Amino acid sequence: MSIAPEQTHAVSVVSVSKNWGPVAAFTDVSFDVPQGEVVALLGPSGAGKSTLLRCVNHLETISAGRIYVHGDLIGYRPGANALYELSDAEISRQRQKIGMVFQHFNLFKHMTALQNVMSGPVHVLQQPKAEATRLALDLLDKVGLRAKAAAYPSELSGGQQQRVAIARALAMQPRVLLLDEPTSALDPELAQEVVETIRKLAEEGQTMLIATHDMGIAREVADRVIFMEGGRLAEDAPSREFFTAPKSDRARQFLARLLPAAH
Amino acid sequence: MAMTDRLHASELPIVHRRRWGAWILGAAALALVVTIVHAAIRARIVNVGVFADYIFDPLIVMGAVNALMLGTLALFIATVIGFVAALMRVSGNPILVAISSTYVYLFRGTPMLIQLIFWFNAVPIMFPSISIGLPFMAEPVFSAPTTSLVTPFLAALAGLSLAEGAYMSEIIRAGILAVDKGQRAAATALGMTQRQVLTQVVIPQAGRIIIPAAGNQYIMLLKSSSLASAIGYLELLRVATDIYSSNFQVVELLAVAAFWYLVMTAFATAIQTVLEKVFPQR
Repeated sequence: MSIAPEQTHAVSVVSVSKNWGPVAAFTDVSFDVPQGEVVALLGPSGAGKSTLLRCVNHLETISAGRIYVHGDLIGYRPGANALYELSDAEISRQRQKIGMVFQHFNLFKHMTALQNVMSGPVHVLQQPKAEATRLALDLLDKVGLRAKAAAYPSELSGGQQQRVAIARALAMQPRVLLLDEPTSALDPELAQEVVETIRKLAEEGQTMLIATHDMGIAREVADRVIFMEGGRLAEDAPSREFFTAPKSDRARQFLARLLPAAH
Repeated sequence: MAMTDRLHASELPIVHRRRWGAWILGAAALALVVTIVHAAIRARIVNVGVFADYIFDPLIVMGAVNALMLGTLALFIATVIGFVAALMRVSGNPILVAISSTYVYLFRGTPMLIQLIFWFNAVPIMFPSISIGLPFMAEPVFSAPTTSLVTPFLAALAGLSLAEGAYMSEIIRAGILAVDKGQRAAATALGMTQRQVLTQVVIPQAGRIIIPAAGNQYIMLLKSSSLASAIGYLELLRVATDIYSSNFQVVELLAVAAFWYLVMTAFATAIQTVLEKVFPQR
């Protein structure tokens, strides 16, 4: 009954719809993200990008369709006539390999930067503290914040907080990283340091799905752009193609509004 | 003309406006306080000798220790009850929500004094004897008439804990709701189970938020322990009352009791201050 997607796809979204009661967040969205690819989800506010991301790790439940991450059906077990929602423990296990970065960073306020990065390995993977500390310090080093290991989130700038949040997600060695508007809450200057961090991850081959309004990320970091509007997938094209020769009228209008100089 | 004004202005010293109004009010308030204190001393309301005689009286000190013990134990039990009731309230399950809200309504809505007297009198009538049995044993392991078990201490502890638990549940619920939703989303996304989200993220953060309010409740409970005098528990007020009913030094003994309540309040405030320092809100 269930058609398993190709194992090579890191993420497969198959005819997924999400409704808030009678209101549709998005309808019948399908796409695949191959291993190692960086995909930007673009579209005007309210297009359903963030909701779609939150469905991929089952922070939101879907109303129809299926989502696979590395071949695992997310959130449900296929039965004879229906998909049955998994238990809290089973869903938690699936989420371990799906990292997430939030618009407002959501660092644990009562923990230092180091403790934040260690929190997943220690509490979820039950790693010994010494090992988790070593890994966490390496990751903080990687995002350029080893010196801030003992700082609390309230003592860090927005850009620094977001980089710690990225390190926290990476500590779980996720097969896919979901980034929900990672630069939207930041000043352009601080956004740039986060973009650089994301670019570095892209170069290392980290699979990423990024909902964003940041054209820098979409154009320079992403391999592919998925353009959503009004709860529908309007265009799915390689990044270069999307920005130089958008096929749909809606994408053309969207780009004309954002990049008036380029056209 | 304007040009020279500007040049001069840059060289002049700056004089800020004096807040005369506040100083005048302060002086008036101080005069009022001095008048009242002076009148009290002149009238010799408190016989200092009697006050000194009783301040470290063994019975008084025992009463103070009993009050501190009762209030402190009640706070701990109330916190546990309040935590469970708060979790039920935020669970979203309509049955649990209804039970929890009814509990809060009943126990917050009736005077503590009534509850204390109720537990002291009603429980022995509802359950005349209490037995603890084990399966496959004919005779209960433990059996006793309830009146011998429900001592004034236990009735007071139950009464204070249950009444305070209702207040604590609202405080804890507010603390849980004050934890940003994003914190829970981040913990969940890392792969924490709902239990881990609660123990690793929600409780540590909500705990910090409720410290000031809980400190307030602790002070209130220490003073409310005086209600237990109504059911014959030998706490501070009861001891003081017993003494002044025989020697008629009412004001002195109430002052002695008040002194010890102030000592307890200082103790509770110190604990709260230390906790706020050790677990700052970030």
